[in-house]
Amino acid sequence: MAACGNPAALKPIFSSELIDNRVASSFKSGGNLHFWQSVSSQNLKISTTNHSFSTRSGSISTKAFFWNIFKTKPDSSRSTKVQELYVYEINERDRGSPAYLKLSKKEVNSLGDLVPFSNKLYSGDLNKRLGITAGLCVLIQHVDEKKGDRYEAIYSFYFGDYGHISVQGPYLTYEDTFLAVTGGSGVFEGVYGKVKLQQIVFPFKLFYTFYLQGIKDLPTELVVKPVTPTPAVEPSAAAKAAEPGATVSNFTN
Amino acid sequence: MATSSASAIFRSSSVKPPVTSVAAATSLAQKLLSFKQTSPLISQSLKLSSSSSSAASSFTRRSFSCKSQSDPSTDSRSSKIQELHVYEINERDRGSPAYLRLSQKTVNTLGDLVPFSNKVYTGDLQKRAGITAGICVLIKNEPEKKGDRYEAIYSFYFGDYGHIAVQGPYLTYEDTYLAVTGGSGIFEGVYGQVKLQQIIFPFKLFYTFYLKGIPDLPTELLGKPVAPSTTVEPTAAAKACEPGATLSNFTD
Repeated sequence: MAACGNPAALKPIFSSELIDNRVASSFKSGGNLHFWQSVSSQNLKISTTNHSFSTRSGSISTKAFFWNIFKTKPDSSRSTKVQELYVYEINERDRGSPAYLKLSKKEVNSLGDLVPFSNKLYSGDLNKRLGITAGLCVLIQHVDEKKGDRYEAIYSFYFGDYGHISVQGPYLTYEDTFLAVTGGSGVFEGVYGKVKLQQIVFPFKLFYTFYLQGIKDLPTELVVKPVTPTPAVEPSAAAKAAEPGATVSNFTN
Repeated sequence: MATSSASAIFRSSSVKPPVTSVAAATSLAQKLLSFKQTSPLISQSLKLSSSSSSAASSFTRRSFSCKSQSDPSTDSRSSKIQELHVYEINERDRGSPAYLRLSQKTVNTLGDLVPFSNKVYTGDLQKRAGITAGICVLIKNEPEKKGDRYEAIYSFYFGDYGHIAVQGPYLTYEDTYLAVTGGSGIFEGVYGQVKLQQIIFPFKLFYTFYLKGIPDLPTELLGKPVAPSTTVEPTAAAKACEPGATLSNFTD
């Protein structure tokens, strides 16, 4: 989240190495094979295990046939297929965010400080405004050697009528992290997985790669070829202005 | 990942495969399935043979009843959706909510935090179940809607049964869906979403959980819910937490 840290110490973080890793990882994670398709192509339809068959042993003929029609109901089992989703979180400084609450009352960032935040969310190709992020960073410790801080972040990504994704995990101002995807609503109902957080310009621009499992195929509107993260990336003017056609339906604001 | 997908195939929902007639079955080629079974009945007494349809004619009309013998708690996650209804009621006796105006502004602003804890009753309002407990992070005041957007992170406690953790949007001016992030006790491994409906802001809320991944809920929690209206109240016995009108060791 483009939130945490001392606003007075703005340090853009450039890392072409990070960008290369992201591109590389997006080819490696390919995720699961479409196992359902490969299985069903062999006409194997399987549902639950451990069936008890009540047969009277005396009446089983020597040719004992085992009939069982297993029907899969793809929509009732939890898909393990990994789907990647790319978004940009951008702090345009017009939402009063972040709200750094120095409750520790110490000079240096200390346990006790809380940082509620909310920024704008754009699609990975930066052509559409999706919604917002919203949540809280809990400062855990200041890390001197890295000249940064460790936060525990608990927040959600809102995608308008599509629903939301909730996440929880580490936010380090000095390096990329993976957070846990804890759940979602709408098209993301039942989701699990992880999300990679990459800071492009600390703390204003972040790029996320979600690795989502447990949900149906994402709507095509959300599946876009992402713009490669660089410090100069900006949303399209239409997306920034939230013009019709440059937003998702009822984008969260 | 492929192996985990394979096992995912085999452990699927609690759907019971339908019994088929022989005629329907003959149209399916017989495939030998080898799969891990924990039921000794299957592994020992099953004789599989594949042959052409001529064999099928000798197959008398025998129906197999197939029922899932698996213990859902050891199975992998069931995708069956179970609905659970509860009422959350603020009886103003828990010091809740604690509105921390940390933004130090007169209008609700990002920076304000609202820890809270209210009482939870079963959907039929017959039993005190426990409490809610958590925090609302104010995100934005919405003047046109005359309300606020919060990010809510909290849990529902059900006494000895365990708890359900949720995270998501709380809008004071409309109903929302939150994510069910997990649980403990009988709710261990739960996933899904929950619908939040405000009956009387901010004192009475009605929740409909759509829970997956857990064994069948106890009937005690599945009473027919009272339809939400502004006048609904828990029974006097539930309010007074009389024996028989609470869950076992209801959270307080």
